[in-house]
This record gives sequence, structure tokens and C-alpha cells, in this order.
Amino acid sequence: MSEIWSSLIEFFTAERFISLVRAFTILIIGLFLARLISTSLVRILSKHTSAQQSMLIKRVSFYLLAVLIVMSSLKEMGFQLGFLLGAAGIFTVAIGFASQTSASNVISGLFLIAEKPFIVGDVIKVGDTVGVVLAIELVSVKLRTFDNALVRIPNESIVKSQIFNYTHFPIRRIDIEIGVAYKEDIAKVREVLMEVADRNPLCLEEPLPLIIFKGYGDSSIDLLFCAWCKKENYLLLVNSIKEEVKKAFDEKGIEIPFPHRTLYTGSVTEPFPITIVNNP
Amino acid sequence: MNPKTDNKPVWWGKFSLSEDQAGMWRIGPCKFWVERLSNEWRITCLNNDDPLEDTFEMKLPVSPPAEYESAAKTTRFGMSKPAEHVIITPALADRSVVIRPEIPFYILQGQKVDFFVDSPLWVKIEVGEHRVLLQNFPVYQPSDTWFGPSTMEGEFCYANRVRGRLKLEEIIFRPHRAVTVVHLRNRSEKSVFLERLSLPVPNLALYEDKDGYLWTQSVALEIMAGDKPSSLRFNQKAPSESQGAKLVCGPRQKPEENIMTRVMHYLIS
Repeated sequence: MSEIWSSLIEFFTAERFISLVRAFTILIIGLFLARLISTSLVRILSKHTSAQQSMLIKRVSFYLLAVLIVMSSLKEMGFQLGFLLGAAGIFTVAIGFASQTSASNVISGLFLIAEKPFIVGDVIKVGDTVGVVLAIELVSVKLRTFDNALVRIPNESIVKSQIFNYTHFPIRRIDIEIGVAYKEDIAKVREVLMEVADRNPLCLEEPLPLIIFKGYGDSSIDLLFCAWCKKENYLLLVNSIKEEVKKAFDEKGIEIPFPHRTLYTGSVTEPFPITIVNNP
Repeated sequence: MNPKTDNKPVWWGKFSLSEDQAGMWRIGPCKFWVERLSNEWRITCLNNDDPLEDTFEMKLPVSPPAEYESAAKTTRFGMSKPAEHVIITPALADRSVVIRPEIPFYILQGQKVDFFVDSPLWVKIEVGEHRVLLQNFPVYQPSDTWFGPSTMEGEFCYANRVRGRLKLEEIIFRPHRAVTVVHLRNRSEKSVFLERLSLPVPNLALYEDKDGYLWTQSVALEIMAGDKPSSLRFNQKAPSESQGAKLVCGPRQKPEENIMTRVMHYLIS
């Protein structure tokens, strides 16, 4: 019994055990401090940085400190850091070859964060996907589509594609294509459209709504009605103004024509039946 | 102050309502009821399409209507013990208001011009001794507008339905609008064309004149020579034209310190 006791005492007082305890203490306290420092750093810089820059600062500072702490902890345990770093170098090269795509995504992510073509909360379109930016991370960007699906787009694809940011500027323009019958007075149509815009409180008075004469269509005179609104009111205005245009046209007797087709009946076909009405 | 018996269009003040009683206000295009029930306050608003309608009616206490019109919008506020008092206060818009003169004009170099404008009012409804805010809504929802040098830079404002005038006699006083006198002075070397003016109404206080109409303190805008920025100053009392109007309520926001040096294109274009 006393032998066991003495060997236990020997073990706990041995230098190796003490250095092991010291290494673990450095590791635990160090990681805790690293977390604290990175969080405080973000808090201090939060006024001057965007959400994704803060996230990047937090991660980079934490991982740098964590690497230093792990290295000092290993040194405390008696490891030869030179050998370890050499092994890590070979390991990194191997990993690098295996994870080219991830590395490319990380570098693209850094470019995105620096360039800032959009921020969290913006509505963007990448390829055919339209959604609200939920997070910009080192490897990917996460979007929430309007039908509430989560879309993860790798940063590399975003950097290579064309991005539409619909909420970058405070105001947006909605374009409505309107066709009116050839018999209509265009000046009157313009007046009615301007009145509709004037009555809708969501439609900005300035910049002035714009009516563009697009051309002579197959069945109608084609106009483009452009009205401005706050970016938040875009959908509300699109819905309300289209209804109001239809209502105003109905009230003023302005015709929105259906497609017209003039049929030519050649000599082979039967003539069209004609009814003659005798007016009193 | 409860209830009003004179003909002044004064619709603000502190009013007491017993349980199951209501008050009805009709201020221009807006009609609203405030009801006190056993454990809730209920506010019902009804707006019409004419922003310039100047009807005024106030009935207090009244029995609440059995059924409101379908266009009316009711909001309920649950409370364990609804307070006895309701406080109705007028307020100016929560954003600057862009005003156009009836006909745009030049302010010649070295000249001073007085410009008279009226802007829409909001209704603030509070209850109890601690003035718990229930609602703050416009008598008529003004249109949004953008005021700035481009579609990328500028600020959101409200567009004013009523044009500014160069004569006070041409201003029609309405119970749901407040009149502001803008003293314009051109100290620059060239004439300035006034097409639109952005009036920072959230920084203005409201005053009641002897006839019960509302005014704000006057504003002095000086267009300076050279590269110096224009300066905007708010007088600290009611304008002399209001003939001793009394303060009703302070501004929504304290004026920014840098308002004195706001860039000219944010004020005039």
C-alpha cells in the first residue's frame, strides 16, 4: 500500500506531470482569454466595421491567438516545435492540394468582404436566385429566398457572377408596361397616369414619374410608366399602382386592348357572313 | 378644457372619459374616435381622399357608434385599469416637408423675401398621468418624396400638397395644418431660383394664435456668398405675424448642431 502511495506521490511531483498541468492551464486560460480578446476587439471596432468585417476580425484574431496558445502549450509539454512546424508544413501542402475549392472560396470571401457589393439584409439576385442576405461567411453566402428557403452560394460562384443588389440605394424605380388602344389620346393617358402617381402616397413625388412612348405594338400603343418609391415600399407600390391604373383607365374610359388579329380571307375561303342592321 | 364650447378649431388638450364613453374628432380629412372601455382603449380612424378639406368637429363625450364604416381602421390597447384621461396633442411631420412655391421665383442677389408655407399635422394620442403614447398618426398621409442632388444621395421627405405663397393673406388657415414663415435672404453674388424648399419641420415647435390656428416659429435661411454653406436658423418664439401665439408643444427633435451648415442643395433646389 505504502508503495502505491509513494509511487503516486512520485508521479504527481514529477516534473513531467507539473509541466503537463502547466500546459493544460495555459491552454484553458489562453483559449478563454483569446475568446475574450476577440469579442472585445469586435465590440471596440463595431462602430467602424460592417457585420461581416466584425465576423472576420473576430475569427482571425481568435485563431491567431489560439495557434500561439496551442504552440506554447505544446512547448510546455516538451514537444520540439521545429519538427512540429515542419510536419505541419507538409500537412498543409497536402491539405492545400486536397482543398483547392475551399481555399478559393475563402479567398473569394475575403474579396467580397473587402469590396462590399452587398451587406447582410440586402436583397440580391445571383444567377436566378433572388433573396435576402442572411450571412456572408468565409466560404459561402447564405440567402433566404422569398418562399423561405435557405440557399447557400459558394463565394467563388458569387465573385464570378453578376450580382444585382436591389436595396443598395435608398430609392427604387418600378417600370410598368401599359398598352392602350390606338384610338386613345396619349396626352389624356399621360395625365391619368400622372394623377394615379400623385394620389398614391407611396409613389415619390420627386424624382418625377416618367412615361416613355415605347412604340407601336401589334394591338396597342405601348407605354412604359416608371414611378419611384422607397426601397421598402417596392412590393406595396407595384401591387397598389397597377390596380389603381386599371381602375383609373376604367373610370376615364381608356381601353387596354386585347391582342387584335386582322384575318385575310383569300379567294379559296368562304366570305364572312355579314348582318345588315337598319338604323331608324 | 373639457369639452370645448367656443368656435375655435382647437382639438387638442386633456379630456376625461368615463367607462364606455368615447370622444369624436373630425379634423379636416380625418375623423377619429377614442373609446374608453373596461379594460382597453380603442382608437378608430377614418380618412377621406381630400387632403384640403377643412371641416372641424369635436364631440365629447359621445356613445361610440354601434358599427363603424368598413373603411375605418380600429386599433385596440389592452390595459388592466385604463386611465381616466386622454391627451390629444398636435405634432408636425416626422420628416422634412418639401414645399414648392405657387410659381417658382428668383431671389435676387442681396434681397430678402418672406415665404409663407403651411404643412400637415399629426395627431398624438396619449393616456394617463404618465402620458403613455397610444398612437401618432397624420391627419392625412402625405406623399413621400426624395430631396437630393441624385437618386443615390439625398433624404426622404414628405411632399406638401399646398404651394407656398409670398403673401400671408393668400394662406388659407386650416385646423389640420400649421403655418411657417420662412425668411429667405440671398447674400450670394448671383440670383437663386427657388423651385423647392425642404423645411425641417421635426425641429419646429407649435404655437396657437388667438383664433385657435397653429403656427410654427419662423425660420431664417441665408444663402451665403462664395463657397460658404447656407445657414438655417430657428427663431425661439412665435412669429410676429401670429400676434402673440402661445406655445402648444415643443419640436419632435432637437435641432442638430450642424443644421447651421447644411449644404444648400439639401434646402433649396
